[in-house]
Amino acid sequence: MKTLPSYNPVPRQRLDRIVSALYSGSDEAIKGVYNQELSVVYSVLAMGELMSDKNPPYSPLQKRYAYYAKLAVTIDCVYVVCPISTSYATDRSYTLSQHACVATVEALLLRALYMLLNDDPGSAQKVWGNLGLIIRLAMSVSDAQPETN
Amino acid sequence: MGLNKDFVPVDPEFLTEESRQEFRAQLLSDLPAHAELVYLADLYYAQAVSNIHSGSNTNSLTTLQAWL
Repeated sequence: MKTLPSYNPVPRQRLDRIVSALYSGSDEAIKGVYNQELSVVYSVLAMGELMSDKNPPYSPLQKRYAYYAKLAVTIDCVYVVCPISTSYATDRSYTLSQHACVATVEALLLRALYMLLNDDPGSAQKVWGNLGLIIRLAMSVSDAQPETN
Repeated sequence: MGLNKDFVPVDPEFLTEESRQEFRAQLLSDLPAHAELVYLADLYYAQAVSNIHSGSNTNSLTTLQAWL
């Protein structure tokens, strides 16, 4: 079965780099893995488990992997509140946090892919809502870190 | 690998650094064996990506990909 890279937000080589660090046994290498990259790994595990014939679809293990993927990407704030000095009705605004990076976009895209594959009948609506965040985040990250994008 | 019911996501804005480290340690400790991870990753890249492509519910992702 042919895979199309254009539909693959995280290439295999990228995943292999993360996994190499995680399983290197080096504390320094593991410290260098972002929480969002952990989310990428767990999303791949969840979708791989969904395709596996070892367990029935939507098994507790698969749901656990998906849950961990969600948890890993929510540990760090993507946007943070900052005060602004204008005459607008609100005195608060949101800006990109230091934790937002390309890996955040990758992790959220994989979460969206997982939602398309899982058994939730409302997944299409959830994905559509999440895509708005992902596009906005991709724009913000691209503006904030142009040299890495 | 038992699911800890106290281990739930919260608004990250209110997480302490200590809590973040605890969550991260939990995530790291629950990673499967390397061989299992490679097996599931192989399945994902061989099947899930293709299914996503052939599925009917991909218009939004296609649009995003083109947009990015």
